Amino acid sequence: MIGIESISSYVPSSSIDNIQQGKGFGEDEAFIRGKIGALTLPIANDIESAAYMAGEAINRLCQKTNICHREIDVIALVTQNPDHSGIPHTSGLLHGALGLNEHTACFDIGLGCSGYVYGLSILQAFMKEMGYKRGVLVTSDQYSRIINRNDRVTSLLFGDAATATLLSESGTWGISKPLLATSGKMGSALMKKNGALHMHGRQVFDFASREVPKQLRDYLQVNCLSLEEIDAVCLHQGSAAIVKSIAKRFPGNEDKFINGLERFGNTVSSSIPLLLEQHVLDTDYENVLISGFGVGLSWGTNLLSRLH
Amino acid sequence: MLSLEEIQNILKKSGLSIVVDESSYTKTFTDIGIDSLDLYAFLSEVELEKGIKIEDNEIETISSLKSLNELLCCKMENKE
Repeated sequence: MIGIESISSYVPSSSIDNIQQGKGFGEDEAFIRGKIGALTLPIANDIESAAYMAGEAINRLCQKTNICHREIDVIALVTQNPDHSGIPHTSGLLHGALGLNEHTACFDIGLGCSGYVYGLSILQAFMKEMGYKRGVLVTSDQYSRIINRNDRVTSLLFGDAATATLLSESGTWGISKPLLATSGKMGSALMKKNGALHMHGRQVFDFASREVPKQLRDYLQVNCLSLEEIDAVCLHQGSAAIVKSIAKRFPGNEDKFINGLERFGNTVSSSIPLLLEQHVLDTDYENVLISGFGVGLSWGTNLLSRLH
Repeated sequence: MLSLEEIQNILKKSGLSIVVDESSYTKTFTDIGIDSLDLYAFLSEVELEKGIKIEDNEIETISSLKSLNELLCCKMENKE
């Protein structure tokens, strides 16, 4: 059975002090800590493109798991800020940079904050169909390149990062069947216009605080589960306010909703795998819900269960 | 029209531990401790509670519980 074997990440060393940045917008430290959640935002430099950061995340994954690059059968790369505007596809550039086997399949997935939930199921199904043994799901985005630093709605939120998740037959976390949803008519709430990201804060907040709890409940119901059987919930880290707003709709279980915003901010499709890497994989948890939501608007929820 | 009791209840549902009294009506949201993100959460709960939609241009007209109540009165009358 194909499951998650390991996760590694790459976070740029340069960062913005978000408390200082907040002061520039008239926000105090309490607001940044309590509502935004990110005290620092990692920012990619000119060299740290989507392909570069993805490559570094894969190098770390290979080192951690003692596999060589040429043993990778397939790479699926989730990004919305591809090198060279996506031509050629960033996973192709990554293939060249890492010197991968010619028989390695590479493709990009153009999703944002729901990308990891989608990506796991896409890659798992593809590997099963193709009979592949090792696949890597990469997430890599530098939203800092499309942020207008004078825009208080987006400037305080987004950080850059990349992750690499190894899926293999030796995986220790099983991937269930996800619930996926899209509201294309709401797409303009979070959209790149004239080269910069524009976010309608209230619409995105309302969407997340209403639709995500509903999908989490639907997921539990469809799978005959209760939240009491779930050890942790890894939500996309939109902001501290959004994570809290969703968590409070599950009274008595708020502590299960992990907050990992402090050092990274909202890293788009990397936020869930960063949580898994740092707060889940080395624990004795058995069942973990993951839920990604954002650009699209698109949202998806799935269950990861430890394999015995 | 929201009574103090209803406001207190909605604040609680919004996850805000803010206590309001009669004097709160005329104070700005900021002065009673509701920041910009709290306001999203609060108005979202108001919409659910009252079964109405507060448009973006209407938000610009409300800065206090008093002006929120005036808007709600208007909207409830139109609804009827």
